[in-house]
Amino acid sequence: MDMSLIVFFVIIGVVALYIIAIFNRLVALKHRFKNAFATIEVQLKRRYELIPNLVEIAKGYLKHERETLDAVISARNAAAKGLSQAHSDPGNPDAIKGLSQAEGKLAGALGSLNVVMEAYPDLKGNQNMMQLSEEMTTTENKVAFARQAFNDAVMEYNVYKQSFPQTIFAATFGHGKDAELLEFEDSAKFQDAPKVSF
Amino acid sequence: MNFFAAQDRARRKTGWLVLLFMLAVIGLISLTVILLLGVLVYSQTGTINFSITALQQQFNWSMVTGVAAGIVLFIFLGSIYKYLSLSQGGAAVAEMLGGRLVSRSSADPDERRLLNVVDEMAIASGITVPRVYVLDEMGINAFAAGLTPNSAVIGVTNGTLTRLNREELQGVIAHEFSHIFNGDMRLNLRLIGVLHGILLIGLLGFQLLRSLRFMGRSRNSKGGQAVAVVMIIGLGLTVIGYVGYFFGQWIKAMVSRQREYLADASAVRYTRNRDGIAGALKKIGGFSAGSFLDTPTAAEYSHAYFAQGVGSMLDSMFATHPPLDHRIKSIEPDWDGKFIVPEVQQTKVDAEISGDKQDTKSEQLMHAILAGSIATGVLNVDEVIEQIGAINDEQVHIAQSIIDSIPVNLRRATEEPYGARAVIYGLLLDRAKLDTQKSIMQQRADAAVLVLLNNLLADLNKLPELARLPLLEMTIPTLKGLSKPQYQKFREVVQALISADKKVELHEWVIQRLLIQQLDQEFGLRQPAKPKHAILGAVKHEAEIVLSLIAIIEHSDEQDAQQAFAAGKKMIGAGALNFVARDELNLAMLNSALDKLEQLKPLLKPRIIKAMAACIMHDGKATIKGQELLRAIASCLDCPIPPVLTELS
Repeated sequence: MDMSLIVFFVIIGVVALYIIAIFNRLVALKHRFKNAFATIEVQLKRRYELIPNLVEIAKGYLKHERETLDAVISARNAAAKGLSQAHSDPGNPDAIKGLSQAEGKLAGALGSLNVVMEAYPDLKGNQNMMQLSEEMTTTENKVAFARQAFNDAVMEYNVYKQSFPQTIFAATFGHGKDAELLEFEDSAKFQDAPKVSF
Repeated sequence: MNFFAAQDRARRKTGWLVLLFMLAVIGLISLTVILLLGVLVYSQTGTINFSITALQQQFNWSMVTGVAAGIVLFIFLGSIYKYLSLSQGGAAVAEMLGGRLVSRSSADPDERRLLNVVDEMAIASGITVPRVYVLDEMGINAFAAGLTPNSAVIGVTNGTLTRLNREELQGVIAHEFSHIFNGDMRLNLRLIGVLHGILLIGLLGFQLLRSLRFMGRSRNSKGGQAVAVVMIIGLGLTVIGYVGYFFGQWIKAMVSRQREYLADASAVRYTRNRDGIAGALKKIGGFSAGSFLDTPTAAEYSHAYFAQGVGSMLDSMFATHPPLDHRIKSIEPDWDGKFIVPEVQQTKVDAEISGDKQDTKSEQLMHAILAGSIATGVLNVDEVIEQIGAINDEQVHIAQSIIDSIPVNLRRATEEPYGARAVIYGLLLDRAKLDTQKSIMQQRADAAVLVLLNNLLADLNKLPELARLPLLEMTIPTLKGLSKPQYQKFREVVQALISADKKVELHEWVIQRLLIQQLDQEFGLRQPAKPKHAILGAVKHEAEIVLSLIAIIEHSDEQDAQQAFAAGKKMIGAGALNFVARDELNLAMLNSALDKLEQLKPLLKPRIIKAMAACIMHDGKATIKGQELLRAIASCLDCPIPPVLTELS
C-alpha cells in the first residue's frame, strides 16, 4: 500500500469525522433551544392559571364590563391552545408564530382590562387583587427572561445552520427550516412594578 | 476502596482495556491482511483461493505495515470521535438517549418528587445538584452520565417515575449516585470509545455491501469482477468489524456486571434501607415492560443504566447487568422469589413545610447541631476522607432538614433562571457596601430583579448559615439554563458586587469560586482540568498557600495559626513546606493555587484535604467558616464533602 493511498484514507476519515461533528452540533443546539422553551412553558402555564382567578375577583366589581372580561378569557384560552401546539415541537416555526400572535392578543386584552380597572379604586385596593397582580408581574418578568434565553438559543442554532459548510448538510440531516424567534409584542406590564427600597 | 481510589482506578487504563485493545487490533490486522491477500490472489488468478501457499505467494511486509497503519488510524479516529462526543458531558449523553430536561419549576407531582429526591441526595453528598432528565419509555430504568461528580446528570424513565414509590425511587437514585462516585462513567467511556472504533470497520464493510445494490447492474465481465472484489472486501470488513465488536461487548459486559453489585450495595449503604432498591428490582421483574428501552442509541450506554436496558440473543454473555434474581438475593438473602406487579401510582406532592412550621424546623436543625447530636465541629481527619463521595442515611436526613430550613420563597426562586440570579445577588449582599452594591445592580442588572430581590430579603436574613452553600448549589442547575449572553452579563454583575469595596471577603470568594468555576465550564469559558501532577512536590507552593490560608482563617492568633499549619504539614507528610504569612496572602493567589491543585492525580488529593482538615482541627474544634472553606476547596477539586460531617458508626 503506498503513501498516497494512506493519505487518501486519512483525508476521508477526517472529513467523515467533521461531518459527524456538524451533525452532533446541530442536534445539540436544537436541544438547547427546546430546553429553553420548557422554562418559558412552565411560566406561561402559571400565567394562564392566574388569569381566571384574576377575572373571578374582577367580576365582583366590574358588573358592566362583561365584554372586557370575556375578551381576556377567550384570549387566554387561545394562548393556552397555542402553547400546547408549540409544546409538541418548539422547532416548528408555524406553532411558534401562532403562540406569538395569541400572546400578543392576550397582552392587548389584559392591557384594556388594566385600563378599565383604573376606574375602580376599590378593586385595585382589594388585597387578593394586589397579590394576584404582583404575581402576574413577576411571572411576566420570568417569561420575558426565559424568552430571551430561548431566542438567544434559537439565534445560535439558526446562525450555525446557515454558515458554511453546515448549510450544505443541514437540510439532509433534518434541519431544513429555521427555528422561529418567540416575539411577544412588548407586553405592557399588567400593573406598575412596586417601588424598591432596601 | 474509597472515593479517591475508585476515581483513580477509573482514570487509569485497566488491564482489561489494554488487553482488549491489543488483541482486537492484532486480530483485525491479521484478518485484514488475509482478506487482502485473498483479493490479490483472486485478481491475478480469477479464483477464490484462501490456501496458505497461494496466500504466501502474495505476502509482503510492506503490505502488513500499510494495513496496520490504516487500521490503527481508523480505530483511533473512531475511538477519539466517540470519546470526544461522549465526554462533552452528561447533558450530551442524556440528550443522545432522547432525554427531556425536567424543568426545576415543574408542577408535575411525579417530577417534583423526583427533583426532591435528587436534591436531597446531592446535598447530602455535597455535589452540585445535578440536572435531571426523563426518558419517555415504558420500562423501569435510570441512568447517570457525566465525567465528574459536579458535572453529572441523572435520568429516569417515565416508568420509573410513575410506578415506583418514593422509597424505591430513592434506592434507584442512590444506585445511580454510586455510579457517579465510583467513577464508572469514566471507566466505561474508554471502553465505548474503543468499541466504537472497532465497530466503525464493520459499519464501513456493511456500507460497501449495501452499495453493491447500485453496482450490480453492470453486465460485462470486468464490472462483474469489480463487484466480486467489492463484495469480498465489504463482507470481510463486516465480519472483521462485528467479530471485534462481539469480543469487545463481551468484555464490556463482564466489567459492567461487577460494577452493578457494587452500586446496589452502595445504594443500600447510602439509604440504609434495602426495601427501596429491592422493591424497585422486584417491580422490574414483575413488569411486562421490564427495564427495556426503545431508543436506538440505548445500547451504547447500557452499562450506566439501573437495570438491563437492551436485550440480546446471548443474554447471559452480553448482559451488562447481573440477573435480577441474583441482584435481589444479594440485597435480600431471605427473598421469597416473588416479583411485584407495579401499578401506576397516584403520587402525592411531597408535603411542603412553610411558615411557622418551617421556623421550627430550622430551629430544630440548629439545636441538633449546637447540642452536638449532629456531630459538626468534630472533624476526625480520617472520617473526612471516608465521607467524601459516600452518603449515609443520617446525611440524607440532615440534607432534608437543611432544605426544609430554606424559606419556601427562596427555594421557589432558585427554580427558574430569573429568580436564581436574584438569590445569588442576595447571597452576596453585604451591609458594609450595600449602597455601592445597590447602584451596581441598578445600573447593570435587570431592574425587575431588584424588585424580586427586595421581596426575598427578609427570607435571606432568616436563612441559616449552614444552608447557604446548599442554596447556592440548588441554583446552579437552573443557572445552567441561561443563554450565554445572559450568563456573561450575570457574571459581570456578580464580579462587580463582590469587588464593590475593592476587598473580597472570604465568604464572597467561596460563592464566586464555586459558582463561576462550574458555570464557566458549562458555558465553555473554562476547560475542565486534566490530571497532570503525580507528585506533591509539583504543587509545593500551592499547598503552602492553601494550608496557610486555612490556618489563618481558623485561628486568629498568628502563633496558633503557625502551629495549625505545622499540624497540617505533619499530616501531609512533607517537611519542606513553609508557612506563608497573612500579609503575603491574597485571594488571587488562592485562585491560581486551586487551578493548579485541580490538576493533581486523584490519589494525591486526599492528602491535601486531610492536611486541610488537620489544620482546622488543630485546636479540637472547627468553625462553620472553616468548614465552609474546606468544603468549597474540596468541591473545586471535585471531591464533594457533605455539608455536615457525621460520626461514623
